[in-house]
Amino acid sequence: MTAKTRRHLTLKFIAKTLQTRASKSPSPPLIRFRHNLNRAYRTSATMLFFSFFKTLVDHEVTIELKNDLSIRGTLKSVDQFLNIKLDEIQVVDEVKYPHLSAVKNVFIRGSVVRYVHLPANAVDTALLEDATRREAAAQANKAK
Amino acid sequence: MADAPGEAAPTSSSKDPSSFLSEIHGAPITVKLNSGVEYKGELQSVDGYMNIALENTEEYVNGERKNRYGDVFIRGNNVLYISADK
Amino acid sequence: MADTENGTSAVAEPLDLVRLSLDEVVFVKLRGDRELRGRLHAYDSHCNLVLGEVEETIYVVDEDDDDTIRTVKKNSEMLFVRGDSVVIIATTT
Repeated sequence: MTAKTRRHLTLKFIAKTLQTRASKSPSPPLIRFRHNLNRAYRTSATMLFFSFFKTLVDHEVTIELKNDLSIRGTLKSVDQFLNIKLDEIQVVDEVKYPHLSAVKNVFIRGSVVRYVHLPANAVDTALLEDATRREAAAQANKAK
Repeated sequence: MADAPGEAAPTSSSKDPSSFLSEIHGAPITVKLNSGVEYKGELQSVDGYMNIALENTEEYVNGERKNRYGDVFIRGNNVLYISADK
Repeated sequence: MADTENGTSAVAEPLDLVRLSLDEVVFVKLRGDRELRGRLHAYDSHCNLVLGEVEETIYVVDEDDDDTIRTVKKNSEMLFVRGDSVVIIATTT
């Protein structure tokens, strides 16, 4: 057997394995378990900042990353992990970080964010504090 | 008996880590962080993440007192150890 | 579990301390030799924060003058802070 045919057989085997795995659908109890798990996560993971960022869509923000890079742009979308999509971006310190000068929009993984600088006039602080208290109360109730 | 031989008889202060924590509520403690910074204060509360609330807190960097705070919340992931002061 | 008589205002768990600081000026120490001082408008269990009228202090080691520590100050009118950078949150008196 030549090396080429051996590799071909290996690839065929892998493809077949993946196919059978994909076609095997999980049993109903497993589906229900996953569904419950998803629901549990969705309610226990905090929605406060997710909701907060959704109110800031289409506003100009500056995101400072943990590697010190700052990117200014229009907030286009956010998800539960606080991953963020920015449009019409510009890098704040172009001289120091010229890498992104040709890039128009970015998807930023939430975990690499240090700060998001926000427009103060777009934030209702009284409303935000009330929402925070409600969230804290909800968390405390769940713990009981 | 089913008890494992050679196991030390449990004393009131060495049952398990969480009973240690509940026994030192209100007591003066030292919290050392991964960064080496230490916080000395009275323990108000601890939770499952090892988040800590301290009262009348002093901050020590390299053994020197750097700051005093009224109340301090310490995020649990930074905690190296919690020690009960004498 | 020790239940406190005035359940809503007591510090039964550490995050209650943060809740009692809502709408107050807090001091926050972050990873990477950074400190913030600002008014607390929001937080969650990860210690994600929103602070208003923030002054940030960054401690940097001077490259020309080795071993001396320089501070850089920055201001921000409204700032979201990702919780995983937070080390301590202290009340200010």
